[in-house]
Amino acid sequence: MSTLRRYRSTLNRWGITENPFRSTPPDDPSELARVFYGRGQELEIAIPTLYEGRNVLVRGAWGIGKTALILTLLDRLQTEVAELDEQMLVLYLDRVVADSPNDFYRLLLLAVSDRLATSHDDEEAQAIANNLKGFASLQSKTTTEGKVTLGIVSFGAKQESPAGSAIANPYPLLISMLDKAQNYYTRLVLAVDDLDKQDSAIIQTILEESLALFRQGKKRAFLMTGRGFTSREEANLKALGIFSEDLTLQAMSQEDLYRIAVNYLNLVRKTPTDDPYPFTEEVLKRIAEYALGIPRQLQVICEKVLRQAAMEGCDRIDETAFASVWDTIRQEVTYSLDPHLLRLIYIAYEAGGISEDIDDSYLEQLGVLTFVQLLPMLKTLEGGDALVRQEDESGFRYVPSKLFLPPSKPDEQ
Amino acid sequence: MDEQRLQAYLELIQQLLACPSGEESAILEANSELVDAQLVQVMEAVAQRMVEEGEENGAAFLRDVAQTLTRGEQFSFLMKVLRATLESGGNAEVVYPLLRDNLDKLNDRFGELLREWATATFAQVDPQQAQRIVLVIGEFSNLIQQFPLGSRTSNLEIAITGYEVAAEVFTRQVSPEVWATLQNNLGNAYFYRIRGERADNLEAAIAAFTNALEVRTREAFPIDWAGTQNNLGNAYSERIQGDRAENLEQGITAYNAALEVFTAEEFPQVWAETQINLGDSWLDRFDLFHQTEDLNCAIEVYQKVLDGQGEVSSYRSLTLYRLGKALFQRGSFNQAIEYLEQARTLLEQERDVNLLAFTFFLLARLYHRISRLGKARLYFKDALRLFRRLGDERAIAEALTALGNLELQMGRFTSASDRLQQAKVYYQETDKQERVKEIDNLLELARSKLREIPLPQSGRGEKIELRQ
Repeated sequence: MSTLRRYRSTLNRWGITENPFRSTPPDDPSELARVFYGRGQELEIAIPTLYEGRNVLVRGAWGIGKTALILTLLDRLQTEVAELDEQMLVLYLDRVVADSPNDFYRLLLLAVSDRLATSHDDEEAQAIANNLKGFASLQSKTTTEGKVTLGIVSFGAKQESPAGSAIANPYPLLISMLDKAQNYYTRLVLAVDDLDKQDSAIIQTILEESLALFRQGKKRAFLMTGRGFTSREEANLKALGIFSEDLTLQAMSQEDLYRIAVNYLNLVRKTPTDDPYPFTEEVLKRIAEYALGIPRQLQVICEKVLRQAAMEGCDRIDETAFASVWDTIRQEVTYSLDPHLLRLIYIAYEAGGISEDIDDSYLEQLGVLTFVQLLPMLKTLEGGDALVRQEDESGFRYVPSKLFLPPSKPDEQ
Repeated sequence: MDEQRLQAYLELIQQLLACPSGEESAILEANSELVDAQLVQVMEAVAQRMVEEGEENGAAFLRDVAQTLTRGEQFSFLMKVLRATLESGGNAEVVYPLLRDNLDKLNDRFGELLREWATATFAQVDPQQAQRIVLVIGEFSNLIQQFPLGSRTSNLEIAITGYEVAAEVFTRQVSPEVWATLQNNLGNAYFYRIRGERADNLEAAIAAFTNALEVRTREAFPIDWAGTQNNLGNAYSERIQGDRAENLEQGITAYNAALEVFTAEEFPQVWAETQINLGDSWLDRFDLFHQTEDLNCAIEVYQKVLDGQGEVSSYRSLTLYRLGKALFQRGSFNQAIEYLEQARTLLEQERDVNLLAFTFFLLARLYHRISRLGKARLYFKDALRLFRRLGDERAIAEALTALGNLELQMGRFTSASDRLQQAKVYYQETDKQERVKEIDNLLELARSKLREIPLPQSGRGEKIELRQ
């Protein structure tokens, strides 16, 4: 039997149509609603705050579930405001790549004017949007519930040398477009996700120089994510008075992660159940433990384990099957990594995580002189789900994902 | 040293001790295969034991013999080095290995020996021959002054002796050009001299450079003139005697004079060096008068070096550092960060731990200033890491104080107290009472903050007090 045939037939036997696990949350709001679990308190705080037109900052480590929370939050906001029969425009902006406050304003301006041009045939908005199309491309998808419109906007790569003037001073136009949007919609929420994937210094500058934008206007709220400021010390943003609520997403409990995994399985089952099948309860609990509190780690591990077990034609993913599957996956993951990066993972294992207090001898082994010098590499590995950032009273620490074998193992082989 | 050889040394020593006066040389000659540095060591050990046993006379005798042997050995090494310098035309690749293998002989006595030998020789040879010998001594002095190994203090003393001996033969009357070169080199040796009072050495350096410039005029020897002007600038900018402002002014004048000849097009490397020196003088002037124009002059100069440097990169990281520092002082924080981050990346590649440590420290202070507290803390910690690696106690204490201060602001009171306490120990030991007082105030602040916080934090606060 071919690998693929065996894979398909195992999925059929397990009663699932496909591998449901993936590292980004589902685009479809109804699917997202089915898998999202926990974070009740954060939602409870954020929904009324945004409704009031006040700004919210969502902070947390890589893969902690910020995007899933925001998408869920906006979806519920849409439903709840629609139930009140009020008007609102909610724009979710993804892949905002800005090197300066002006770039940031241009992208916001493009998103808002594009929306007004489409929804209200606003000529001024259309002219602005046309002018900015050379600056960035944009894809948008909108849903309307009652009088509430939710637009999911994703920006494409910026051109190297934008054609035309691309609006030299976008700020006044942005303010005027936001005012206009409120003439049409009354309430306005702009959620900026992913801005935090850039250097936090740039974001800091953008925020500091955009104080007027964030503070201006009633019934107008901004929601921002902030991986760059996960460190509690960067909370001086609070001092800027931009954000009414500063939500820090903590690592999730194993129970919550277990629940999320079952929710994902239900996405591809004919009949939803509470059963972890094809995983046994013990195995799924163990995976939830290995995820180190990070939902994305859970997804990555579950995705790989389920695929490997299906290819091997396992009846169930019990302790025995898991042991073998897990070993294969870890070997694959470990040995496919660039040796230089693998060295760092090994050091992270040996040192019990890499923190700002890492011993000089470990730095020496990595060929660097300082912890700061290591940071870009640590961030790359965090972005690649190879390291997990944990934070406690003394600061943060990068620990290796359980997907990597500890250093002693390869030596034995 | 094997047992058999040790035994042979001891037997030879016994023979020397027992022989009638005057026969020592004959015995040593007969045992020439045993005459080496180890024999001298064994003699010293035996003499030491004899002193302990009350045999003072015997010990004194042995030490005399040992000293004669040492001088003999050092003398033959001196001859060997001078010959190598002559034959190789002053080639460091030939002379340095020889020096490296005889570091123990490069001490003050070596300089004395050089002077004694030269004086005695000059009395016996004709003036032309003396001049030929002196040229070799001059070459050797240049080499030893730059020699990176051994004791830098002794190397500089030997060089100074060499130049002084040479100047006795090549007087200004005999050969003004060579004399001026010797004066210039003597000035440099005094500028870097470790022994003696720094203030006196700088005066000697200025006097020597001024002498050199009497002959090395711009018209007659423009390149030499510019070189000595740069050196004179260095000496004035560090001068201790006299009015600081005037000295800096003299320094700036000298650097500017040098730059009339050292243009970027013709002498990119020296031009960059002199510009950096000039920029540093503007920075020093700013420290003195706090005039922004001086800072702007410094910034302009460093910027010019960076722009004009092209592929000449040996001073790039240093220039970036200085520029960042000047911009910091001017209050251009973001620009300063930009340049210092560039310096940091370069220095990490170059693995220049010393300058990297100070770059981290400056960056940390900058991030603190612009309220990037978390980042500032990481940078302070790395600065501290590097200062510890360098064993720079004063810098460690400064970094600890700055970090403690920052942590106070961040609400990390326990850690802040810990660091301040460590810094306080250093300031107490070095009797910096003002700093101790300053730190005590900060510690009191930390304690009062800790008292506001319920256990367990306050428990740790008490533990800190016990360490006082």
